[in-house]
Parts: sequence; C-alpha cells; structure tokens
Amino acid sequence: MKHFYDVYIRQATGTGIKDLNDVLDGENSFIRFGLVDELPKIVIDKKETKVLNQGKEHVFTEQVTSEAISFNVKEGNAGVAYVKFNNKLVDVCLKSTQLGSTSPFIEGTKATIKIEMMSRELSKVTISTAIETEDASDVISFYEVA
Amino acid sequence: MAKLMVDKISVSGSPAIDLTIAVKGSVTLDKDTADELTKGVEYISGEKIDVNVEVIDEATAKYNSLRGVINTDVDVTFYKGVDKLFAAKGVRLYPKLELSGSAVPKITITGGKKFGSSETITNHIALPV
Repeated sequence: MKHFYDVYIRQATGTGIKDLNDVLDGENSFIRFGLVDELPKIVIDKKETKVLNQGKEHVFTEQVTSEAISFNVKEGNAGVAYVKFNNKLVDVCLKSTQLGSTSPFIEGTKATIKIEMMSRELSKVTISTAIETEDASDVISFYEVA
Repeated sequence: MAKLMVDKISVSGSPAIDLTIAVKGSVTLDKDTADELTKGVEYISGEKIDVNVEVIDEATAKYNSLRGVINTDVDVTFYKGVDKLFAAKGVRLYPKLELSGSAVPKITITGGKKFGSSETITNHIALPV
C-alpha cells in the first residue's frame, strides 16, 4: 500500500514514546512539517563491514538516514525548527496521513537543517538526519509500515 | 526462450522467510580472481556468487525477519510455484530498507560468497534443472 507521511521532529529525549499515535503538532514537544508527497525518505543500510573468509561480509555497524523536504516555509515551522534542532540530536517520526499511525520512529539522530530561499523558486527546507549504530533496531522502531 | 517468472524467494532460517509479494532477483555466478598465463590465456582460481533480491510492499514483518539473518550463512532459493528453480547456498545477506513518502516500502537484499574454482560447484549453487 502506498503511504504518504508527515514529518514530526523534536529534541531527543532518550525515552522514546509509549504510544506512537500520540504524536501531534505541539504535543510531546513535536513540531510538524508540512510536506510535499515526494518525501520524506528513510534508508537503513550497512555502514562498516569486513570481508571474511570466502568473501562473506560481516556487518559491524549500520546507518540510518532520513531526509525530508518542505516547500511550505511560511506556513510551516521551518524557522523555529532551525533554531531548535539544527546540529542537535532529535527524534523524528513519520506519520501516515491516511491511517494516522506513526511509523517509523527514529531516536537520537543528529539533524542538519538547510534552508534555501530563491528568487524564482519556492523556498525549501531540508531536514537530514544520520546516525551510525551497531544495530539499527536500537534507534528505529516500526509501528506499522505496509 | 520462455521468460522465467519467480513466484517466491525463500531465505533459509528457523523458520524460513518466504518473500512472495512483488519479488524479483538474481543469482550470478562469475569468475573472481584470474591470473593471465602465457598467450593471454586466463587461469581462473576463484569464483563468486552474487545474490540480489528486491521486495516491495512487504516491509514490517519480513524486514524484521530478514534482520535476524544478518551475519549468518543462509540459502536463498527461487521458486516457480512449488518447484525450485535455482539457489545460492551458504551466502551472507544484508537487507537494505528504503521508505519513501511517495512509494511503497522497498527492501533490497544483497550478498554473496567466494570460493575456489576447484571446489564442487553444487556445494555453493543449485542450477536450474
């Protein structure tokens, strides 16, 4: 099933959230970004590996990256988000716009926020996060995906 | 030549992980290390198997199961109906997950192994009958 998501971001608490459906704009310190439907994107991939005997690869660490772009700078919370979250550890949630459920939830990842304002194009805010970990399951959880 | 259509790709484990929704993939057997001999003749001393499987729209449960086989040796078997088509044996896999707001979840499973060309090939790969 095809899903469309909104992005919610807050300063990392290290505690997670018990009910992922309680993620709302202004609740639990979360801020909602208004997004176009092409993004966000989350990728979980191997990072540090070692090739063992027989060419078999042992994965030592994984990397969880996410990227979300908002073209709705005026109505969104881009300015606030930049001040509060740029270069800080954050929690990021994606919430399905159809189902209202939240997933996945990435904990304690470092955010980079980029704001581009152009004369002949829509202003654009990009939130990128990345974290390297021994086990991606430690930093990302899925409530429901497919 | 008839086009092969895969119905299921199974990753061994306890229990086995059956991938059935929108699956496609390949198993490639190729030379890995070769020494050039006189007159430009190649001596192939090593071979390799590369496995590449793509699954879409079957994320949460399957992805979690696939994470359970990271850093373990598994067999990957391709099926048409109940018939085995071909398999890669004793390979290591990594499932890469991509979630996007505009597409269904996608898991790309890659991996493989290497072995000496003098070894019995059927220990590493099962070819189509």
